[in-house]
Amino acid sequence: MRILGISCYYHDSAAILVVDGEVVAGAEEERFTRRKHDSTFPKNAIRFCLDYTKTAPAAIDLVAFYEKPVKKLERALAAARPHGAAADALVDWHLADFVHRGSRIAEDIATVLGRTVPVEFCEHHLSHAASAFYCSPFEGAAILTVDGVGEWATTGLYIGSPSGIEQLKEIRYPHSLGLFYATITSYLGFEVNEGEYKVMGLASYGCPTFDREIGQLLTTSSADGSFRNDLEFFSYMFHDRKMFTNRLVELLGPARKASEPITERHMNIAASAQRLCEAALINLARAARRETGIDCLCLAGGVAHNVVANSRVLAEAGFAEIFVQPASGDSGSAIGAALYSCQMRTGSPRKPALAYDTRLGPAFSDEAIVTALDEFGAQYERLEPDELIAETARLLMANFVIGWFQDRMEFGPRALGCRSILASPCSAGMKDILNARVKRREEFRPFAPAVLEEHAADYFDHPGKSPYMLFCPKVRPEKAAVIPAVTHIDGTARIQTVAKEITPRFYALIDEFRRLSGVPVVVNTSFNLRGEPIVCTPQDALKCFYGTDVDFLVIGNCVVSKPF
Amino acid sequence: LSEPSESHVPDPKTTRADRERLLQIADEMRGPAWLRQVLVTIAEEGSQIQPLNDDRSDLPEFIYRH
Repeated sequence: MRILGISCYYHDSAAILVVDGEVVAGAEEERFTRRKHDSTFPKNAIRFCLDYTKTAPAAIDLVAFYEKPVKKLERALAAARPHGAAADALVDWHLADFVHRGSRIAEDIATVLGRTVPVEFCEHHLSHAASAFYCSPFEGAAILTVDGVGEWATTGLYIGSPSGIEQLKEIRYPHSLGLFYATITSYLGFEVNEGEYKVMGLASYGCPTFDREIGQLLTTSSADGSFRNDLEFFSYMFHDRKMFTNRLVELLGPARKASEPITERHMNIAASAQRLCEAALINLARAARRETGIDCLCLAGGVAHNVVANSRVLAEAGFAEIFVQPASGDSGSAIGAALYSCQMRTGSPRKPALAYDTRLGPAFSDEAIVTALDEFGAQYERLEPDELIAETARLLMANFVIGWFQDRMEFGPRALGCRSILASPCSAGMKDILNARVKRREEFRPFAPAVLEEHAADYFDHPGKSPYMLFCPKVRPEKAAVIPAVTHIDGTARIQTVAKEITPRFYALIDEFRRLSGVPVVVNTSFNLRGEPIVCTPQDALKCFYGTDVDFLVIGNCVVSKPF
Repeated sequence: LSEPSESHVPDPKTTRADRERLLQIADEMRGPAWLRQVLVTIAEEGSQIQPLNDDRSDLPEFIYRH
């Protein structure tokens, strides 16, 4: 059975293809259109899925959509109603969204596929839940989904078992942990659905001196894990362009404009908001543990990208193991919707995933790469695989910054060794070089380490694996000075453990770097410029390479250099 | 009043298709009666509802609308 999973029309639209219960291809639309967080119908991603797998449109049995548009409209209108005329603009927007987007899904699909295909609409949080559980290695698990909002739900608790997924509880809009964090993101002058990472990074620089004030925004109950937002401080229920009311400004002081400098007060507010988010998530997870009695947890929804909170849940909530869907935002919901539909249609007991692989996107042959390099007039050398590894490790040792383009593109927001920028972690100045000259982003933002799996415990206080950069453990104190470029100000690092059997070439490179330096770690950051999606094609990689201070581009078996 | 620009003139063919689609959804939906009435109403007034702008420049505002 071939099922196409689609998410779109909010942010990070994506398409994926499931064949006989296995995810075989997928990509976010932004990678093709080069518009970050592109929300448009993912026609390019659908075409990629079909082309890559040589699947004819006629072979698609079903399309699974990641949410229910009618129910979403119901929520938007019902939530806006008590606010009367103040909500007119928001209501107008939602009506237009439904008339011109939500109600047209089946037509859009038929246009792209050239035929009418049955469409199933999966609840938004069920899509998240399925994206985590069906990609996890667990036979059974408690499943927690936490985001801004889907239709009505903002948080869901489920049980996953071989026979399917059963919902236990949900918290409904307007009470939302994701929208609480998004509101603070907006208050601090960052873009919602983009700047949450910045708030998390900034929090480490502050002291949580605003705990009393921030605590008024969201109250938690340790009895059942639930939380409630104090709606006096929030305006997202009725305002179409603003997330907070003047009451929040009275409570915390003036909101920061994007152009204003970041002060200690902003850092302290971020620290208190982060702390409350962590407490609320731990509370939810502890309740999930108590209610299900299961010691494996699956996490998904946008809040599950908060790696600092994930680490605390792992350490404090009582679960033995946690699987976080690497694409926990809405793009990953396309995976969940398709896998859920597949399970429902086939009815066969679900088998635990062996090792979920995010490499679902386009790959390029050596010939295609060489053609692109020649068309660009690039200066390059083609090497044998062993020479390529040795040369790249040598360049890293010499403190050069490397663009690393290999294999299939990853699905989800993290580059895990296929579309990455790599550097030595041993240089204290490397973080500033990468932030200022390569990524062109805020100086407070940290960089992540990729570490050989079997050496991870020597450097980081993290039990087990972390192949998707979704946990942020402490760097062992004796190692912090060894890898300063990846040690955040609070002594943590968002680690990726690299296994030989998953990404052999990336593993070989880090291993060679270890042989030369004694350090089994490299800096791994996504191959993109600030404000742009991660590169997809060799052409994208070359444009990014020549547009930044990346020193060398290692693409396929070629090493591209710049004229010095 | 100024004349609407060409791009804002509703396409009658699209409006008819909108109406039929929305009425079908209203007919098949399982939500509350008031929502069914909303769908019937916007089906009848569909030509007044302009398409949204998906341009990148609209994104910072667009994303606040949950």
